[in-house]
Amino acid sequence: MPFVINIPQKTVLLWQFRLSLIFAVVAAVSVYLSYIYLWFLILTAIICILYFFTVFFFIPHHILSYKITVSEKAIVIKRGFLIKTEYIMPFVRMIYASSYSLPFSRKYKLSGLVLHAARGILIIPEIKSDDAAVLIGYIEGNYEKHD
Amino acid sequence: MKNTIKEYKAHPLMILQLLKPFLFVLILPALTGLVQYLIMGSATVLFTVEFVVLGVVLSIALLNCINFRLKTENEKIYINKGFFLKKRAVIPFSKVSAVTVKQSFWEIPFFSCTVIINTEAGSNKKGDFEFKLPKSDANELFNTIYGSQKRPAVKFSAKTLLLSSVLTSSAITGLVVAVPFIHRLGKLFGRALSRALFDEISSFSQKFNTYFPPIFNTVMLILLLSYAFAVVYSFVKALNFRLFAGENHIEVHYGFFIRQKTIFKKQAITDISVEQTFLMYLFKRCMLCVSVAGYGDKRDKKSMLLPCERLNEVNEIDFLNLPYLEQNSVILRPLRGKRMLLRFIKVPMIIFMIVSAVVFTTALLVPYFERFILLACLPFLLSAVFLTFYFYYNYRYGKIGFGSFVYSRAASKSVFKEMYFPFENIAVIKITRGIIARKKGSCNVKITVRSQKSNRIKIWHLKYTALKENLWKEILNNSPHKGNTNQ
Repeated sequence: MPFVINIPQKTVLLWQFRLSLIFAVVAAVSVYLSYIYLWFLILTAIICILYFFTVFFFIPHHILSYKITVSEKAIVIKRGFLIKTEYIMPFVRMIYASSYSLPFSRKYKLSGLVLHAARGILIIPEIKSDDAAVLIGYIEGNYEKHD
Repeated sequence: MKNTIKEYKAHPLMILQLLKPFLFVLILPALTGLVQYLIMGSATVLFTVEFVVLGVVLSIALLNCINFRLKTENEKIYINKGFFLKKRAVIPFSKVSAVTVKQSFWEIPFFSCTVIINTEAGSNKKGDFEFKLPKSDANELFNTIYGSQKRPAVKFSAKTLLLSSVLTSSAITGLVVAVPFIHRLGKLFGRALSRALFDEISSFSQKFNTYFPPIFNTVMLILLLSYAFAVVYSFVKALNFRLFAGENHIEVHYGFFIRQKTIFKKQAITDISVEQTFLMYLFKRCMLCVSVAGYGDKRDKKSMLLPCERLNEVNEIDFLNLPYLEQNSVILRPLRGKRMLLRFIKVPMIIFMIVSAVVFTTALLVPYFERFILLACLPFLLSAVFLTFYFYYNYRYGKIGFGSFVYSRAASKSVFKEMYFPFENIAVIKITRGIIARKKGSCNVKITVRSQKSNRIKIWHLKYTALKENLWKEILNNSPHKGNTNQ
C-alpha cells in the first residue's frame, strides 16, 4: 500500500535558523566593510532584502511543497512551488540509502535521507527520525524482494 | 552466509586520512611556524591563528575517527560515521560491486590498511566508502562479504608482465609521472634537478646529426626516456599481479609499493573488453579488461584481468569462466566497396593533403626553414597516417552482433577494442544518419553501456534497415518483465 511522508514544520524552522546564521555572518562582514567603502551599504541592503525573501517566503514554500510517496515499486518525490519537479526512483535501480543529521536536527529528532542509484542521488530534507527509520526499513525490505 | 553480527572500529591512522585535505594549506604551514617558534622563540599572529584552526580540525578529525563504526548483519553493511554531521548508510552485500583492501609500505608496521567499498552509485574518481581498519579486521570483513573459500591462483610470468608493460606504456604517461617526481626530488635535495637533467639531455642529443634541427634530437630523447620510465614504472607496479578466479568471484592482487587486493562478483561485471594498443595490434597480443565499479577506476590503473595474451587464444581461456564472452551468430558489418572505404578515410586524407600542401608551399617560399617546417608539421602528418589506419580498421574489422549478449568490435580512442555485454546493460543507443548516409541507406550507431564508466562503442556505416531489424527484435525479446541485471 502506498504511504505518504510529509516534511514537518520543525524542518522549516531549522532551515530558517541556519540561513539566518549564515546571512548574519555575511551581513556583519558587509557592514564592517561599509566603514571602509560606503558602497558596501548597498550590498548590505541587498543582503537584507535577499534574507527576508529567502527565509520568510522561499524556504517555507519550498520545503512544505515536498510530497514523498512510497509505493511498492518506487519512491516518488514531488517538490517546488514555482517550478514543480517530480522525481521517480524505482526500487530496482536503488543501490543503497543513507541518512544524515546535524546537531540541531538531532535535538528535534529529525534526519534527512539520501537515496543512491547508479549515477544519480535523491536527497530528502529532514523528516521525523521515526519516519526516516520506517522508510529505510521499507527500502531494505524492497532490496530483498528485488534481489 | 551465517547471520552473525560483527562490528568494526576505525584504526587510529584514519585521523591522518581525514587530515589529508588540509596537509598543504594548514598542517605544513602550521608545522613550519612551530619550528620557527621553537628556534626563534616568537610567533606571528598568522601562526597563532593557523595553530588554533589546526587544533579545531584535529579535534574534529579525532571525533570523526572515534565515532566511525562498521557493522555487518543480515547480509548488510551498516556504516555510521561523523560527529557533527552524522551519516548512516545501509548497503546490502548484493549491491556491493567491489571491495578493495590496500596497504602502503608505511602502514605495515602499524598493522593498518585502507578498505574501499564500492557500489555502482559512486563516482569514478573515488570509492563510495573509504576508511582505515586494522589488517585483521579488514580480512575478516573481506571474508564476511565474499566468503573465505580458497580460489585457485593464476600467476603471470615476469616475461608476460614485461611484454605487457612494453606494449601498453606511452611516453606521455612517463612524462606525467616522471616530471613531478623529478621536480619533488630536486626540491628535497635543494637542487634544480629537472633543469640539470634537461641540460644533460640537450648536450647528449647534440652529438647526433640528423636531417632535422637539434631540438628534434632533444625531443626524441626525452620521449624515449619517458617511455623507458613508463615501462619500468608499469612493470614494477604489475610485478605483484595475481588472479584468483573462483566460481562466483574474482580476486585481483596488484601493486608493489602500495599493495592492493580487489574482489568482485562476476555478476557485478557490466562489460568485458578485449583491448589492443597499436603496438599490441602489431604483435597480435591483447589485454582482457572488465568494467566493474571500483576496480581500475583511477586514471593510471587499467581494470585488466589478463595483461598480455595472444589474440587468437583469448576466447579459449576457460579458467576465468566469464559470462557472455562469446560471439553472436548474426553479425552486422559496415557496407563494403571502394566508395565506402573512401568515406571512412576521407577525413585523415584531407588532413594529410592540407598539411602536405602547407609543408610544400612554405618550403618553397622559405627554403632556409624547410627542415623546421617539416619538423613542425611532422606530428600532423603522423596523426593523419595513424587516423587513416584507425578508420581503415573500423572499415575492415568493425562489426556488431545483437542477441541476449552484444558483441562489438571497433577502434575507440586509439585502442582497438572488442566489447561483450548483456543486451540489458545497454543504457543508450544512438543512431545517426547524415544526408549522404540516408541516400545510401547507411547509419552510424553508438552504444553506451550502463556502467559507472559509461563505456561506449561506435560502429560506422552499417546498413540501416538490417540494424533496425536486429535491434527491434532484441528490444522486443528483452521486455521489462524479464527482470534486471542488478543482482
